[in-house]
Amino acid sequence: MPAKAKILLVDDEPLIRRSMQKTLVRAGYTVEAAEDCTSGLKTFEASHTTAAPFNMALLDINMPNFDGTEASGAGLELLSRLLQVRPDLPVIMLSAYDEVNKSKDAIARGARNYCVKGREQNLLTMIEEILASTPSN
Amino acid sequence: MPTPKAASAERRATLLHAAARVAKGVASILDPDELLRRTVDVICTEFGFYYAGVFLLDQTGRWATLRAGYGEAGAAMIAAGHKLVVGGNSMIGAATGRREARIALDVGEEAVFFRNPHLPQTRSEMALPLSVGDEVIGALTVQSIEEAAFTQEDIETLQSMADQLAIAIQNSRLHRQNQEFFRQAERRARLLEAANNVGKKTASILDLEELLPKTVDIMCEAYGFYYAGVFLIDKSGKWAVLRAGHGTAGQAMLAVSHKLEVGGSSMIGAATGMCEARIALDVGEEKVHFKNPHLPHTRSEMALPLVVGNKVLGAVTVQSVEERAFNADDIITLQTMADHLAIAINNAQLLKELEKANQELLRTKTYEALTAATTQAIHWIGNKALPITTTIARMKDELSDEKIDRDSLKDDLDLISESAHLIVQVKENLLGPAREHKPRSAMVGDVAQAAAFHAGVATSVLSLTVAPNTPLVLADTTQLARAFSNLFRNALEAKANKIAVTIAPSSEAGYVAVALTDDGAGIPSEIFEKVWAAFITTKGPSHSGLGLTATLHIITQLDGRITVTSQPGQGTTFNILIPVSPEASAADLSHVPSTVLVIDDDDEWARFVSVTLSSAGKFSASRHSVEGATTADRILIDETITATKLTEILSALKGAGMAQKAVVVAAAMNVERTTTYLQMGVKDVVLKPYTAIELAAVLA
Repeated sequence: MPAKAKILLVDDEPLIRRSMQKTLVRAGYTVEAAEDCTSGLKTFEASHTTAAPFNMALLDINMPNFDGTEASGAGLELLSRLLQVRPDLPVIMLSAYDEVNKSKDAIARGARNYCVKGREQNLLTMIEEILASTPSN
Repeated sequence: MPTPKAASAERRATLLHAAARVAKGVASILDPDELLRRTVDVICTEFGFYYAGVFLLDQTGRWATLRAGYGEAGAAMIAAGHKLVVGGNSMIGAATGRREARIALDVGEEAVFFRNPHLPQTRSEMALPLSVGDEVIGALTVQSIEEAAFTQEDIETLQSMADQLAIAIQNSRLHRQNQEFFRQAERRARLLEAANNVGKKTASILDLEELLPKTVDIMCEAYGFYYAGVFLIDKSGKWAVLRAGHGTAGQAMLAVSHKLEVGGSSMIGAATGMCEARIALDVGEEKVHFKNPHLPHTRSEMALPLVVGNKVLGAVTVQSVEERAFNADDIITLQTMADHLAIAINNAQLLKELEKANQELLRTKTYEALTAATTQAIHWIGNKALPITTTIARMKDELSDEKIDRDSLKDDLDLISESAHLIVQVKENLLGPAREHKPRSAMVGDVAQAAAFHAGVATSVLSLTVAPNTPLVLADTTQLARAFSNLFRNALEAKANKIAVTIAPSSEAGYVAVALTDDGAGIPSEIFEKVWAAFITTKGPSHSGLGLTATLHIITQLDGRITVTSQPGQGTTFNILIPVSPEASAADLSHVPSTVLVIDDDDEWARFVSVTLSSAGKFSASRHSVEGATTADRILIDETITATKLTEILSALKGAGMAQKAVVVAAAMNVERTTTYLQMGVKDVVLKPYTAIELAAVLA
């Protein structure tokens, strides 16, 4: 596992962004956070061609979409756009709702996991395992 | 050469003979115009007279009007509306006025004769009264070009013929009158039947939006009217607003919100304002009629008020393309129909008001219930959130005082974690039942089994009995499993050693009965009444008390019922009724793969799959393991298999590169489990099929 993996965190809920960022930073990761699809993609693309691109993304499902309007499933669109830029990017989806169809959609689009907020357990272990199993990392 | 006397006798015989023929010929003619025309023709041709004409008295009795006249002269005089004053100077005037025959043998010398330019050759004229009993109905004129053409005997002969003619005229008039009566009676019967039809067809409709359009259509069909429309008075009481109109004219007027002022000069305005029926028989001449460009062909219109008690609800307009289309009888029958309609409208309006009041009551009750639940919820969440804030404050103080005790810090974090977990649990319980409700046919025993599996009920604790003839139920299986899981968890938390589930057709038709009995602690009598309410729990502050609330909500959403009985210290029984599913239709399994491996316990569902596939000529095998997976076209794996661990099966399939042939079937879907199975490479994770159609879809 790379000691300083860089993670993109996109969520429109400031408290979740803050606490998640803190947890990840304490675990030794470098974290950049964004609050919607547009800024998330922009942040990702800005560092993609640099010496320190992102190694992973954690995306909320329901947040403002690329038009800026709140949309159920906006994160799935961002997931696809990120994977267009980097097809082997490990992505974990986060949602406040347990919607089986959304989880299936996320996995089908290439997400490595789908977690229901509040029910996620051992998130750090999961991140570690997924990063370890991604060859380019 | 015959003697004058013999000649006279011969002439008389001819006249009598002719008179008899006239009488016989005309007696059977029932059409009065035809009768009169034939009479004058026969008199002139048979008797060889120059002219004959029949005058009949008009309704006033003052004029004798020419109704039939021989030849061109007759036609010309009828066309000119030739009439003579009864009792006047003319011979007809005298005959009708004095009710006696008149003769002018040389009319040039007779003062009473009016020189008629149409009959210049007349030299003798006879005018004979036509009378029935004491009543004079007209007169017959017979004219000759010979001077002194008529004798006293001729008068007598022709008078007797005239008397018979008068009777024939009277008969034909009576016949026409009878026909008119008959026609009217028939029309009235038809109208009454139509009114009755409208009443019958509209009485049972309680939705105004359906009642009014149907009524105008039924009225136009039943009575053959050009147009019918219903106006209802609006809330202000000032306007009668068109609410339904027949045909395209009606649609056009509805589109522009056609309305008329109550008490205004329109017929509807007058009918609603004065609460009485209005008729305009030729609307072109009727002042109160509003000339409507949408109804250019209307010639008669009737406006009938819609009245219940003393209240005018509106008015009906009926319109005909015929002039004088309505009579007094029509008003009575149509008003009867309008009265029925008014009652139907009133009923519909009352029902609407009742529904509105009911909804209002429901809203109030819902609000009260929500307020009560919200108060409970706020209280509960407040209690759970308080430790978080106080603990955090304490931790901050300790940090700033630099008095950090590791054990105390760990304890504080546990406090926060536990409180947060409880709040998250509330979200889980509240969100579940709020889901979209997708009922389908389901094996209730299989769903209960899956629920017990997920709730962690050991196989040694559970006994599940399903009566062999139990039909499928209609339920959202994910939700039903959630409801059962809540009951299983409660039983486990009440320290039950045995949980018995028995499933059988209910004694109440259309339901399956489920009894879930445990031998746990039972429900304390002090909270038994409140057991379904939210945030009520017997298990102390570490529980949300939402499990039974969610279960009740789910069972109610399925149109089922749930009741509970409990003996403290002995156990609890939940009795649940779930609606039976409609009979499943046949499925086409010809396109499913020919070899299917089912990895499951030997249970009801595995048997259903095996029987369904083999009856479709497919090969299926049921196993507890992946044995036979290589040769199978498709593999179905029951998520809740107990004989072998699911993860072991999935790992084995993945290792053998066969996971993509596998579909995991689940009675209840769950995000984390679905994600895990997909990560292990299975083709799909789907709801467990319980009918042949669903099975065909899963295997397609």
